Amino acid sequence: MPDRGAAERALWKGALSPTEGCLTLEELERWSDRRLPDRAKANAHIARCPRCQTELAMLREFQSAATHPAEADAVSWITADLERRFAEHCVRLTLAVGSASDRNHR
Amino acid sequence: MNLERLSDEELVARARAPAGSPPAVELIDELFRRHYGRVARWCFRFTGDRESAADLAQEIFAKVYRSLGSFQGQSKFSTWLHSVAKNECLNAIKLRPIWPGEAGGEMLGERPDSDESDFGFAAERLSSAHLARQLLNEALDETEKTVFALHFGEDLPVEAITRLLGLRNASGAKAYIVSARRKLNRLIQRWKVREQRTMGEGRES
Repeated sequence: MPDRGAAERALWKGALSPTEGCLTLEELERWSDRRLPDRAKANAHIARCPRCQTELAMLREFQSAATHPAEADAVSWITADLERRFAEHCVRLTLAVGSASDRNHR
Repeated sequence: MNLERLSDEELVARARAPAGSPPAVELIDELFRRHYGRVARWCFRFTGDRESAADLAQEIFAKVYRSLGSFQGQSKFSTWLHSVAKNECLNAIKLRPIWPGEAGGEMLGERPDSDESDFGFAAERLSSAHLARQLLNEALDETEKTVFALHFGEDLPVEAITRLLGLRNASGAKAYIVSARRKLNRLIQRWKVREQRTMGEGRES
């Protein structure tokens, strides 16, 4: 007996795969900023394409600066951690450049 | 030089050093600083755990640093960063679907449907992806469609979708998938009745 759950997943996966008419991320950005030349054609595609609508929603979510109060502490902690890691990386880079320069002078 | 006055794209252009020499650290530092919060939030929503999110975010910035030369400036830097962040997070979630913050990386629709569901009928009839897309558009509202696409199209677990979209209802993305499947099922039932009626009329004539 065929696995109907797997058939369902395959059905939606196929429906949500990119098509030839789908817009690239760059085009979605330009569409969103009203800088895409053939806007009418893009409007028609986006209106009936769940994939492009989702890509657009994800892009907007990423671009938005809105942090929910529930995640604010975690985001501040991660940001501070990234700054610390980058500073450490720069120190290592400076030390590496310094020791290479010492070797060249010897 | 006042780096704050430069756009992201100008920072990238200036940071792109000739082959073999490392890009200017101050420019990269300024560029990355502007986006740490955005990437931190994005990674935290994927993982639900700040330590894993910090590791993932570091990988994203390392990848961006390494491939800065391939940024052509055909989009905003933040759009390019989004594509790197999205791909890294989706790959990471596929390799390691359960982070410490996850309840269990739940995927819905994996079990065979109950008797009253007609998704099997739909799968048999909707051989064309175009028709299935039409069904999704006709039956679902915007949020349901996004949740559905992330779950079935990108294989994201419901917990990650709930955080990613900032859903605040009690059962998060799961509720949207349940309601979406119910609506789709109702629409498929209507299609089924219509198809049977058409077939019946065909036999009578």
